[in-house]
Order: sequence, then structure tokens, then C-alpha cells
Amino acid sequence: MKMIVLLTIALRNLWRRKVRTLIVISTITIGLWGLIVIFSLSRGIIEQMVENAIFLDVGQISIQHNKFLTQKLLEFHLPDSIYGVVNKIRQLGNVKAVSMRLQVQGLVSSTVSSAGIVLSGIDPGREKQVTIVSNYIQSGQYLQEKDQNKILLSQKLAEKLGVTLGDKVVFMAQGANGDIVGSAYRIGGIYSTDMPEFDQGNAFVLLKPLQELLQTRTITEVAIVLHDEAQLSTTKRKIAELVPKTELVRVYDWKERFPILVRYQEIFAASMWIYYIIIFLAVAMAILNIFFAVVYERIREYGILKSIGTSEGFIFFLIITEAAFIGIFSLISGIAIAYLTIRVLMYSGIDLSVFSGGLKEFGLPVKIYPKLGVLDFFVPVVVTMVTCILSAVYPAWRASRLKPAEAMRFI
Amino acid sequence: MRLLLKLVWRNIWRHRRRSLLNILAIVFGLGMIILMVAIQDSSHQQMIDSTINLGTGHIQIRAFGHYEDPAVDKLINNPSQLADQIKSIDAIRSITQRAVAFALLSSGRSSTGGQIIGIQPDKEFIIIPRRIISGSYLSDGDTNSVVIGEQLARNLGLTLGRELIILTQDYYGSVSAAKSIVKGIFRTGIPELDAFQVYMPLVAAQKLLAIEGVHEIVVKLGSPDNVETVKNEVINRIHNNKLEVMTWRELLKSLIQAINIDNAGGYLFLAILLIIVAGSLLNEILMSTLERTREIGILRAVGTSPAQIRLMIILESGLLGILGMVGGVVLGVALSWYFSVFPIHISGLEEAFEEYGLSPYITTKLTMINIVLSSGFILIVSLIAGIIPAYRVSRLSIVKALRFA
Repeated sequence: MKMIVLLTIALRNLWRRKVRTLIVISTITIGLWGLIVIFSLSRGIIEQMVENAIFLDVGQISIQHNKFLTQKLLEFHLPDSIYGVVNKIRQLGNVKAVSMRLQVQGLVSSTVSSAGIVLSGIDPGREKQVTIVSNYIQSGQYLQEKDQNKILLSQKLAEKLGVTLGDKVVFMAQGANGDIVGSAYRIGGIYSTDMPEFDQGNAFVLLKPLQELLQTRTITEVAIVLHDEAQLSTTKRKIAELVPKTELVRVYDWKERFPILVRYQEIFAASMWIYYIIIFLAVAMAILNIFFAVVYERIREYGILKSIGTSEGFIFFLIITEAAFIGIFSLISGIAIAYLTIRVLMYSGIDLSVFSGGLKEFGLPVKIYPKLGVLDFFVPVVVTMVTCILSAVYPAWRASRLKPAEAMRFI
Repeated sequence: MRLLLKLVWRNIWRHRRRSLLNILAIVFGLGMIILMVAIQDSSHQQMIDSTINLGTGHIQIRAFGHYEDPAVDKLINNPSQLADQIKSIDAIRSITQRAVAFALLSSGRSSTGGQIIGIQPDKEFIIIPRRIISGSYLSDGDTNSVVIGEQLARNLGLTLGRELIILTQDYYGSVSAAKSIVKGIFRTGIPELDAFQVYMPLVAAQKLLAIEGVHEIVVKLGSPDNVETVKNEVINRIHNNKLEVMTWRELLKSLIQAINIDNAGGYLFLAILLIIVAGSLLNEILMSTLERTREIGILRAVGTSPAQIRLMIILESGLLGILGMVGGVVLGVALSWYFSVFPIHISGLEEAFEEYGLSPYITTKLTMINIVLSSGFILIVSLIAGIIPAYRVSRLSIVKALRFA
């Protein structure tokens, strides 16, 4: 009963000064709206970078010689027993697809120019399930099983080499026995992803012909894509158990391969708190100010309440409740508007192609889609409620300590 | 007028605590805005400086089209003559010539793709000599030595004194090879440089590529301020329409775009802070005018014009804004100064920062534009916050206002 009275009076008090209440609620709403949208966009950028890293290149889990990542040399290949292991990995529940690759660094040249690249020998059927490069074909087509001497390279590389679809390029590299070997390929397809760094350095041919060229029967990398990212570490452990127990072979998850992306995620979470706290320190001052005014305006009223026997606690909580209502209303409207905005942006995306040159070079996606996480709602709710309630404590305490006689005489 | 100012002054001190709180909100908001813009400016400046010192320089002269498509045969044929022509321009501190080409680099045991850069060691301004971690930098008499990145050395299994085999296409399109001795190994922390770049004497590069000219003439200025003027002066002096003169702003277009986007994100955040400060101030003025309804009625009754009342209230809000602004500038400058003397170290992100040419320290760079713009915005916002209540109050009917309880 008392509770209901308290809530009713608090709401009526807020309603009494509509303009003031609306202004404070709408400033907090705008703040929440802006922060939630900005952070959902930053989260979108980071998640897209993670996805690009995973699905353009190495999958969630990869297996390599433990020196291969620092030195992409043919001598750091995987042992022959890997073929049997891969068959067993394919049987695992959470494994969606597995691809085997032979990667070698070398020089690709046309009659005009040349560039250093990593050439990957792949099995197109399997590779398509692991990476999304096949979705980014600009002209020609993705490699086929029969394309013995065709090469797939990027738009960027093609421009640099001054070649187009159907032209010939020559690839030179060091073979397994140390000799420089070379082979000519015809361009069967040209791709272009959002990641220029990837585009610049990667071209693809079939695995078998590349093995023949380099006089080897080995592969250097196994890339694995999972059904469920949440079980990353469990699946990784299962795979590690299958891999031959030598010190040379290592199983990596994407977090080890791209520690910087994991750092970005951590920094993102930390900066979210910092930004919210800075903004809400300003909000705290605004709310404190309002309640100073409230107490001043209602001194007589509080005097009357007290003289008819209202407890100090009731008056204290009355003011705290008003502050809490301001927080709750702001949260409802702020989150609602932000959510709507984000839904629209999720559909349309923010196209930054005007600046795309700059973004691409820095490994950022060109079209940004917002993404929401639990933290995106948790942080604003906590920060808003704590700010609103804490900043009303002092004025509320002052009001509860008023002396009835003096207060009633106040004009 | 004097009376009006006196009224304004007394009015804002009537609720001392509330006015102080509002001023404090402005001080805090403005201080934070100045600090954050200073942090952003400093990180952007670091990126630009580091790219300039890593080789871009302030102004480059290249054969037309070489920037878009760096082919070996797009040459500057008379580089020394050009250098002589522009050397007397005051602002120029150093002029250096370079030849660049892509090449297959091999140690005999393994190989990789990379870029060779022929430089004039005595005239070059790049930061590489200060980044040598073993061996030594190229000197003028060298013909057969190279300096390579740490990662490249590791990839190829090369150490000091060993031979690097360079395979590339020369001017005529035929394959050309050279053997050079590794004289020094450098580390910049930037993967693209440490794993791909080979510096060699210009003459050796010219011989390898079968060219007599160079690909770039790179100019560094004493200060980056008048780069456009210097560029025009250079264009006038060399007077050659087969050549392209570009400033670092044109050469680093993508860096500048990325900086703009970063700035845009920062400004959005600052706009939110500004809106909250404005809302708080608007509320304060609304409350104080409402409380004074009777008083304002009396003022009107004794002959004060609505315009004077309006002015009074806008001035009250403006005065709060000005006081907050002064405090905010002091706070912002003090915080920026503090963090420039005691930078914050971000642990764990060294690699990520180095990749973009940043140091893992957060520090600040305070500019006049930052202070003027930020405080200007605060002042405008505080005046606007006064306008709405001012109009409301000046339209009150005297009788109603006097009866207001």
C-alpha cells in the first residue's frame, strides 16, 4: 500500500513539471541513443574484421608446422600422416568443412610487371566450403577440378600486373629441392574482396599441379570451419588429440592467429565503459541540479508531509524513486529509438564507399553493419540507473532532514 | 544597461549551488572535449609523421602515372638537374632520389617476393639508419651492399655478411639478377617494411634495372606548414608536364581518409556530450525563470520592456556559459598538458599500434583550433539554451505573472 502511494506521488511529482522532466529525459535519451548506435557500429566493424579473418583465410582452426607461420617456407610442411588425420577430423561432430592447402611464396610476373605473392594450391570443392573467396568472383569463374593450368587472382593484382581474364602470367618460386622453378598459368578468374591486404598477396591454383611444379607431395596448411563457434576450444582440443604427437605440428585457433583482433575486442569492451561513464558524469550533474531545485521548490510541501507524520525514509525514497523513474523512462525511450535505428541500419548498412580507399587500406570493411551484444544493453542500463539514483541521494537526504516547523514557514 | 548586468550577476548567484553545478557541468564537458580532441590530434599527427619519415617525405616528383602504376620504365631522366633547380627553395631541407622495383629475393635456400629501393645514403632522410639493429647502414661508397628488414632476414635465413640474390625485370623486360652482401638489418615494427623492403645504393639499383634515371625525387621540408606553396614553386621551377608533383596529402590520401573517419566518430561522441550539457543548462534556466515568474511580472509592471527581459535571461545563460568556458579551457589545457608530460601506456597493444605507425602511449597534442572551436561551441550552445526560456518569459502577461504563486 505504502509502496503504491510512493510510486503515485513520485509519478505525479514528475508530471507536475512536465517540461523539465521531458527535457531531462530527452537529453538522456539522445545520449543513450547515440552511444548505443555508435557502439553497435564499432562492434559491427570488429566482428566483420573477425569474420573476414576467419572466412577469407584460415578458418576457425588451422593446422600448420610450428615454424610455418613465421617463415612460409616449403621445408616447414606437414608430415604425410596428415592425410589420415584430416579424414578423422572430418568425422568430428562440430566440424563443418576441412580444406588442405599447399602455400608457397614466389614472384608472379606478366610482360609488364611483377609482384611477390603467396600462391595456394587448393582443392576447389573443399576450399569453397571453407572460404568465401568464391563469393567474390568479379569475372571468369572460381577454379574447377579440370583447370590444370588456370590461376585465380585478385582484381588488384591483375591491375598491378596489367593483365585481364585469359591472359598468361608466370609464377616463379623455389621448389622442394632448392631449385628455382617456374610455370605459366592462364587467368581463369578474378576476385575482389573487401580486404586489400589479402587481395594483394593471394592467388590460387589447383593443388596437384602445384605439387608437381614444386616436386613435392606434401601440404602446408589445413583450414577447418566449425558449425558452432562457441565450442571452439573443445573442438580444438579434440583435433589436437588426433594430430600426430610431434613437436613440429601445431593446431591454432583464430584467436592465436589474430591476437590483435582479440585485443580489439577487449579494448572495445573497456572503452565502452569509459565513454559511458564520461557522458553520464555530465548527466549526473544535470540530475543533481534538478533535484536541488525540486527540494527547494517543495520545502513547504515536505514540511506538511512531515508534520502529518510522514517518515524521513518515505521522503528520502520518494525523491530516489523520482530519480529512478527518470532513469527508467530514459532507458525505455533511448533503447527503443536506438533499437529501431539499428534495425534500419542492419538492413541498409552504412556505406562508406566515399572513403573506401582509406578504409580498405586499413583493413576495415567498406559497408558497416551494426551488431548488438549483451554488453550493449547491460552497460547503459547499469550506468543510467546508478547515475540517476546516486545523484539524487544527497538532495533526498537534505529533504528528509528538514524540520517541519521551519519548512512550513518557508515561502 | 549597467543595471541589467547587475541584475544578471545577482540572479545567477541567487542559487549559488545550482549555478555552480551548471558551471561545473560545462567545465567538465568542455574539459573532456578539449582533452579527447587533443588525444585524437596527437595520434593522427604521429601516424602522419611516421609515414613521412618512413619514406614518403613532404613532396615527391615522379614521372606522370608512376604513382598509379609504378612501372620500371616510367622514369625521371634528368634527376640531378631537377634537384639543382629546386635546391635553392628556402623551405626545403633535403632532396633525395630513389629507384624502386619489385623483385624476387632469395638466399639460395629459400625465396620470397619483395621490393628493392635504390637510395642515396648521404642524402636520404628516412628513419631506417636509426632503426638498424645489427650491422650498419649503407654508406656512400657502397656498391654491392644491401640493408634488409628483420623479418625478411628471418624468412630467408640470412645473417650479416651473407649473400642476397635479387631477381627482377629490368627496363627492357628481361630478367636481371644481382648478388649483394647484407650489410645491415633494420626493424621498424611495420610488417610491410620489415618483411619486404630491401634498401640498396641507387647506382646498384640503376645498374640492376638497366636505367639511368630514377623513379622518385623526394623532398623533405623544414616544417610541413607551407607544403602547397612549396609544391607550386617546385612546379614552376621544373616546368615539365611529363612529371607529376605531389604533396604528402595527395600521396597519403587513404591515411587522410581514415583519419577523417576517425574524427567523424569522435565528433559524434562530442556532440552527445554537448547535447547533455545544453539540456542541463536549458533546464536550469527554465527552472530559474519559472521560480521568478512573479518577479518578472513586477519588472514588467515597473516598465521594463520585453526585449530587456529577454536580454537579461539570455545574458544569464551566456554568463554561465562564459564562466564554464573559462574553467573548461583551463581544465582541458591542464589535462592535455598532464598527459603530454605523463603519457598513458597501453600494454598489450604494441604490435597493433606499431602497425599503424603509432607508439603504444596515449599522449596529447593541443592545437589552437581545438580550443577555439570547442569553447565556441559551448558558448553558442549556452546562448541557445537561454533563448527558449527568454522568449517564453518575455511573452507573459503582466497580470497573470503577478498572480502566479
